[in-house]
Amino acid sequence: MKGVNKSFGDVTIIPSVDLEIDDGEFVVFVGPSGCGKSTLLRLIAGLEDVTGGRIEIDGVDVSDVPPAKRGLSMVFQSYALYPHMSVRSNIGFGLKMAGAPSEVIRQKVEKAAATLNLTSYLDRKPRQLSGGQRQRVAIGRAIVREPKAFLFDEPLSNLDAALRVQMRLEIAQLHESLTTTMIYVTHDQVEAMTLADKIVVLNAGNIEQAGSPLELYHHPVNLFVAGFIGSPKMNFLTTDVRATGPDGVTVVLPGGRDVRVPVAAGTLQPGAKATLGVRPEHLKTGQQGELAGDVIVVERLGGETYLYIRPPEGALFVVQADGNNSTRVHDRIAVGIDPETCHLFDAEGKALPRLRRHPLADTLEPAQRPN
Amino acid sequence: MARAHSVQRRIVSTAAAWVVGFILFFPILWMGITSFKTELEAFSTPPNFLFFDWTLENFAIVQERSNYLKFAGNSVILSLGSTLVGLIFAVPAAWAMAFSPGKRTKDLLMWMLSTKMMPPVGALIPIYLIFKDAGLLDSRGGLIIVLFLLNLPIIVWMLFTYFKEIPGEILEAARMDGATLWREIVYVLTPMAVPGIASTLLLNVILAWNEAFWTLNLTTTEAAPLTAFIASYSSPEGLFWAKLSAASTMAVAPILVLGWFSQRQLVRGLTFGAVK
Repeated sequence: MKGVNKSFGDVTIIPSVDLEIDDGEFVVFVGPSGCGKSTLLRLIAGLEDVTGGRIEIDGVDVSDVPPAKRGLSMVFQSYALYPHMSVRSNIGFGLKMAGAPSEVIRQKVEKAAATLNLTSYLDRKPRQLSGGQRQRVAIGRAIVREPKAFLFDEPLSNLDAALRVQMRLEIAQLHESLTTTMIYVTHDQVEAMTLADKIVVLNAGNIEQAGSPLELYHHPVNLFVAGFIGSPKMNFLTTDVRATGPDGVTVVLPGGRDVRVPVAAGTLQPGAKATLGVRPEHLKTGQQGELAGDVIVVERLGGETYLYIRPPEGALFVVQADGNNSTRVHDRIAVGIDPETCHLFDAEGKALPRLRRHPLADTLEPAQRPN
Repeated sequence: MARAHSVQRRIVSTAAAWVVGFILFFPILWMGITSFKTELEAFSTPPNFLFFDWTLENFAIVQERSNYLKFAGNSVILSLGSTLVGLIFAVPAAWAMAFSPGKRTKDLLMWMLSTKMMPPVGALIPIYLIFKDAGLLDSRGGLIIVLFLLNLPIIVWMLFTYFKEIPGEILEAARMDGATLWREIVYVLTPMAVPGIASTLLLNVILAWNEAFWTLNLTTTEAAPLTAFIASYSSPEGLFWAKLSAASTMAVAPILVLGWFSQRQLVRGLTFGAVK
């Protein structure tokens, strides 16, 4: 996509987007509601026309090509199955439109149905199927056309939590076996982190950052991405810069203690304000620490415990503790910070680059790359 | 206590509904009964309800005097013809309004419906003259054109409300599957909209069948449908109530039967947009 922008009348949804997606990649567009991720997907599909810019598939400009001819398949959030047709006809519809002979259609439909465990449902109508089965039919309909890329528009949003996890696995396995490019839109950052080769974080139509999941986790480029990736959200503390140097920037925390964060200072000067970001899972409870406060809420999930702490100065923050942690509400505890896990953001919200890259941030697991 | 109340209330409201229904239906019922009476009986005061000599002579005379089948045939041709032509024009129009609405779509729809607000007699003379010059007077083709244009706003509006109920995503899925616009309409939209199209069809057949103003004014002998058939019995020769009733009953019967068998569709069609 080069310089793609999209407006509906006077409202500009997407100011300008430049993005490249490689063959075989699993790309996830993620962002809050209204950020333009679905619009971007529909522009790629051809269901909307670009107001400006170009979209190329395999080097060919397809900005004026109708969706039917782009060689893509889409799986919709509401499944969009044809209610008056059987599962078999639903899956085979695309092939029928392409004029394939009925014997070929029959074979391909049965093969796709077998891959998705739908063989016993082939003659049912969509209204006789459960949500998960319907979603599989929608995926089957997309697979059978052997497209250049699959487009998923929040496909799991209508499913219950347990089914969502199961379907997520199935989609991941599908990508493994088919190795086709997949472009996936979701507002759920867990789906993004677990499925993607590359995550594109969108905010108000702009790409905030694009990179591998761990790259976004360890090296977010701004406050927005840092706050979006990771659940519970990263804690943000307002701090003052005390000193800068080759080993990092020393900041004063609310409460007076210091911490030296290993980031490059750039143009940051002592006396400036900076935001310190640290994830709940990187804070440690203990006898002493740089932060302290009263526990106001304890959430026990069994495997882990979340402690919500109100310090004497500054905003509320969250600490992830072990499942067996026995802290109770109204306890006063100290929380320790490991500077290696901290992020520092300047007054505009931009992240200061870390002095050392996280080892996993730049390598992809070998299984995720097609041969 | 609450239950006893509601059973009672239900009995009362059901009874009330029957009474209202009976009152509304009474004229048709009376007409039907009168068609089995002799002319003398038809006149008598106080009117006799059920206890008279039932006779079929009126129907025989009516069929002898004028060719019922010809008029009925014309009615059928005009109703079906104008409805089908209307559908051909209305389906694409309603599709465009429902699935790619522009800024002015709502205005356009309102404008179309507003043409029904004008009394038809205002357009009578111009249309009569145009038809005369075009040689369309007393022709089935001409009447089909008038009837289809008359009912087009209604057909478009009803189809529009049905099409709006169809989720746009299903049509988008068809597009992604490689369907051209035409195939999208034929393979996906139409089957899904069949109940809506059926209701619209039925309502329009009924409207066209009953249309008296234009059919009476633009026809003489060849293309005259049943409305003219009935009108010919209210003549200055005298009051032939029994025969008039017989003729009317014969004219109304087919459409009553059609309406009876399709009442569920009709009710659905007329109330569809009202309750979301």
